[in-house]
Amino acid sequence: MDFIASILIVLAIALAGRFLSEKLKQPGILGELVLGAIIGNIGFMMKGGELILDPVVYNIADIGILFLLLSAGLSLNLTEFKKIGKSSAVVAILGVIFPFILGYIAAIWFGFSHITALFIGSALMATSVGVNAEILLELRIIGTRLGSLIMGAAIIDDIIGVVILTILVSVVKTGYLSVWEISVFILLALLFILLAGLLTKEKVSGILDRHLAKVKLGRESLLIMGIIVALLFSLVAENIGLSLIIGAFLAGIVLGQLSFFRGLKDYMSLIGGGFFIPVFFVTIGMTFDFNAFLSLGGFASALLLVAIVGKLVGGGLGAKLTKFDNHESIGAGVAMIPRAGIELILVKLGLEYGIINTEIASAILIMVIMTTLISPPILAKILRR
Amino acid sequence: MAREDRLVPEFYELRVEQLMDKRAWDLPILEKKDDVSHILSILGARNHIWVVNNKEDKELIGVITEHDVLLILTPKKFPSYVFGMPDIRSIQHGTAKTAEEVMHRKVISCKSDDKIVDVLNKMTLYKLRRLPVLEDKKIIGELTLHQLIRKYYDATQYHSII
Repeated sequence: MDFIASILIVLAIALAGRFLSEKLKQPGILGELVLGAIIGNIGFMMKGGELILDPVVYNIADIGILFLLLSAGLSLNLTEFKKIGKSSAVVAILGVIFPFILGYIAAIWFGFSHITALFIGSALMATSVGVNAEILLELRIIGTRLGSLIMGAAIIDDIIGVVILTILVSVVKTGYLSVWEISVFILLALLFILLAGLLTKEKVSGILDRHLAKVKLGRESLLIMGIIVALLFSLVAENIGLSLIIGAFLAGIVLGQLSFFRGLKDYMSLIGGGFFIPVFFVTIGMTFDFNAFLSLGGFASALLLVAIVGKLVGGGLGAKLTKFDNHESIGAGVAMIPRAGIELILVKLGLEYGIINTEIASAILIMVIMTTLISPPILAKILRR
Repeated sequence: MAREDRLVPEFYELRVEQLMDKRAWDLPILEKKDDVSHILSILGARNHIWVVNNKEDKELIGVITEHDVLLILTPKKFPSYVFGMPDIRSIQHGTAKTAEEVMHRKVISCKSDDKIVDVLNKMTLYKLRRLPVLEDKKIIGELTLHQLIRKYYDATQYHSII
C-alpha cells in the first residue's frame, strides 16, 4: 500500500477510535488500539495476508514515541513532583516489584528465555495514570489523601517504567560487550543523566533563560528548536548505549523548566497528539495477531492474571504499609491496575530488537486492553462503598 | 502616512521605562499563600494577578490570568493521552487552594531598558497581553498591550510619543 493510502487508513482508524472511545466513555488510546487491532486482523482475514502499510508509517510511529516521551517530560512539573509523598513512592515501588516478579516467573514457567522474561516482567510494571483519573474526579477523590497517593504513585511508576525500559534496551544492546566497554557505557550514561539533571536546576535554567531571551524566534521556529533539542538528546542517548526515549524524556524535563519554551507543550500536543502519537498507537494495535494470540491463549490468560494480582497486591500492600485502611488500600491497588503507556513502547521495541515475538506482543496488548477496560468500573464500585 | 512611517520606528525604539505603568502600589499582586478567594475577587475586575513570594521583597514567582482561572473553574477533563503528570487543578475538587497552586510559574518578563519592539515580539511569540517589568527578580511595574496601544494612538493624534 502506498504512503498516502497507508497514512489515510491509520489516521481514519485513530479518529474513529477516539470517537468511539468518547461515546463509550473510555480513554482515547483504547479506541485507537482496539480499532487498530480489529482492522489489522480483518485485513489479514479478508486478503489472506497481512494489511501491509508503507514502511514510512512505522518511522512516523517511531517519532510518535519520541513526541510522547517529550510531552511526558514537558508535563513533569518538578516543583509539584517534589511534593509527591513518600507513601506514593512506597505504593509505586511495591506496585512495580510484585508484577515484575510475577510476570518474570510466569514467562519462565511458560518456557521463555531469561531476557524475554525480563521484558515481559517489565511490561507489567507501569501504571496508566489517565485511565483512572476520570473516576477519581467523578468520585471527588482526586484532591484527597487517597487521590494524591494514587496519582503520585502512577507518576512515579511511569518514571520507573522509562528507566527500566532504558536499562533493558541498554542490556540488549550492550549484552556482549567487555567489562571495560560496559564501564565506559555506565560512566557516559551517568554523565549524560547528571548533565540533564544539572540543566533542570533553577539557577542553571535561569541563566539559560536570560541568554535565550535574546534569541528572537517565531512560534514555529520555537517548535522546531524544541524538536531539535529532543532529537539531539535522543541521539546522544542512543549513541552512548541508552535508548532514544530516555533522551526525549530528559529533553522534555529540561525544556519544561525554561520560560523560553513556554507554550512548547501545547504545540507538541497539537503536532504530536494530532498526527504522530495516534499513528504510533494505531500501528501498535495493528501488530495484534489474533491467530498468534490464540496459540498462546494460556500464557495470555496467565499474563493478565499476574498483571492484575501483581498490582493489586503490590499497590495495596504499599498503601497498607503507609497507614491507609483496608478499603483504601484495595482501592489504591485496583487504581494501579491499568496499563496503557510504557508497555506499548516496550512492545514496539521488543519486536524491533527481536526479544519478543508477535504471540507475546499480542498477549501484552490484550493485557493492556483488558486492564484498561476492567479497572475503572471496579475502582468506582470499591470507592463508592 | 508619512507621519506613521516615521512614528513606527520611533515607537519601536522607545524603552520600556518610558511607557510602563510605574505605580507598583496599584498593581494586582498576591502572595503565594493567599487563598483562591482572593484570586477570584481580584480577577472579577482585573485581567491578571502577579504572584510574589511576599509583598515586602516583591520577588515575582508567577502570574495568574483569567485563563488559569478558567482552567480551574471548568469541569475537569483530561486529554486523550495522559502520559506523565496530569493537571489536576480544580476548584471543584479542592486541588487549587492557593495562589501558588493556580499560578503559571514560567513568567515572561521584560526589563526597564528593553526596547518596545522586543516587548512586542515577546507578546506575539508567547501570546501575551502584559509583561511584568523586573529588576533583580523584583516587580517594579508592568507594561500592558492597552498602554502600548494608547501611547501609539495618542502619538498619531499629534501628542508627544513619550
